[in-house]
Amino acid sequence: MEGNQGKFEDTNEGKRKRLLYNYGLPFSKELAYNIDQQILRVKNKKASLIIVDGGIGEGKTTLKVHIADYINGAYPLISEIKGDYPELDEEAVYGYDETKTIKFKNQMAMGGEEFPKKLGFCFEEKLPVVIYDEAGDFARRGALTKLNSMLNGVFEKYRGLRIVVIMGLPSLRTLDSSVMDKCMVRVGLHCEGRNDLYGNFKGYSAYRLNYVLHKMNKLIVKVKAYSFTVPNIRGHFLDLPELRSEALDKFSTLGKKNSLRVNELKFKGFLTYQDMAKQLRRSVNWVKAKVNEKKIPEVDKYKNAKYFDRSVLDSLAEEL
Amino acid sequence: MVDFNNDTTVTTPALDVVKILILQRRNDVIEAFEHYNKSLDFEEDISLVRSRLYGLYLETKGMLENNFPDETLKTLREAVYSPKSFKEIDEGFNIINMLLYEIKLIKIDNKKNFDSRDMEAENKHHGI
Repeated sequence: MEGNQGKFEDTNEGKRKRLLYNYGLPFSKELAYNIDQQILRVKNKKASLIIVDGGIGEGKTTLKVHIADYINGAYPLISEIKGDYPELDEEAVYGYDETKTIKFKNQMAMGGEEFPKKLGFCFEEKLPVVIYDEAGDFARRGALTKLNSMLNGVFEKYRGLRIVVIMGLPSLRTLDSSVMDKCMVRVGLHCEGRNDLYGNFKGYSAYRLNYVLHKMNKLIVKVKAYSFTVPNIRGHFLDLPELRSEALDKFSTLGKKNSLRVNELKFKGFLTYQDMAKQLRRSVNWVKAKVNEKKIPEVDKYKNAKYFDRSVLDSLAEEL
Repeated sequence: MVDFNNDTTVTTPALDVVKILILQRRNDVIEAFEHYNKSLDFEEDISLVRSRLYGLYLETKGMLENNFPDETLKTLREAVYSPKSFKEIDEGFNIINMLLYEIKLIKIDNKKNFDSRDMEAENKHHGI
């Protein structure tokens, strides 16, 4: 790590934290070249899904944001004389346009529920990239099955979206074979061994990812599968600027908070109208009417959803 | 040589038989080249090389006329009918080799080379 000449140079008690390499990108050029190929792909109305996986705290979200910023046009080439088919250019130097970085609110989905909404928004606004962050689904049972069926649906219906989807997963194994067989995943980035200065990633083509997945199914220590397949590229990425990092943390924590709160209420055994209707095998309207009739008060309320004590079930069961 | 009395040859499509005949003729020319080089120390006789090239020329004549401009054919004809030196025969053989490469009869370097750092190129190469 020599010559901290990034534009976001930040002095912190005499220590400088590097945020851009000398060529103007926060990650290695080989990765930029491969992202360019994905941009060309979606321009040709082909699906493109970039998977970023790795353990907790390895910098997955940071890398996702960097890549999304790049696709969104935040790092234009200074020369800007590149043709439609860029080649890996060792001399290329990139600029930085802060106005073109992604808006977390619009282009970052925390969990499967938000994803189709954000994808729709990006399509309407002609934004070229959307991030799916697993944070919103991190504690939900059955979310993984839903994720796979959602991915299949989204890519089958909206091939012509012209949007690159960047998806963060704790493990590649989350994806089922149908997603791989349909060739939606084009690039896989595995983050590992982050330190104070930079994060590390290994890049795999879809072809090599299939081998990684195959090996994972055989091994006891699943992560070890990455060391059995040679990556196409290896590289580093730097941290986000402080303000942007704070904004991301805030946004990310909000997603997790919502999920945690719902889980907390479910853990206490509280039930919504829908839960009760399911258990009593009656319609939601019937449950609502009976609860109103009996004037049973809710014990908690979160985001328009009323939660009732489990004992309400017994009293409603008498009405059956 | 191709055995025309063999049952297997009779049932083989004519196209495949011609392909083998051309390759055999080409191999004969290469053998004559080797012989010429081996005997260079005591004699400089180009008759064997010339006649072998002539045989290959006759085998490929139609294709050559379809694929090459008159100028190239003129050089080839000179090499076949009235060669003044071994060099002219060598040039003629090169022209026929070019044809055989173009029609993919001797083209075996089909493997596509790509930069392994280019993930999309690798995906495409493997049909993904």
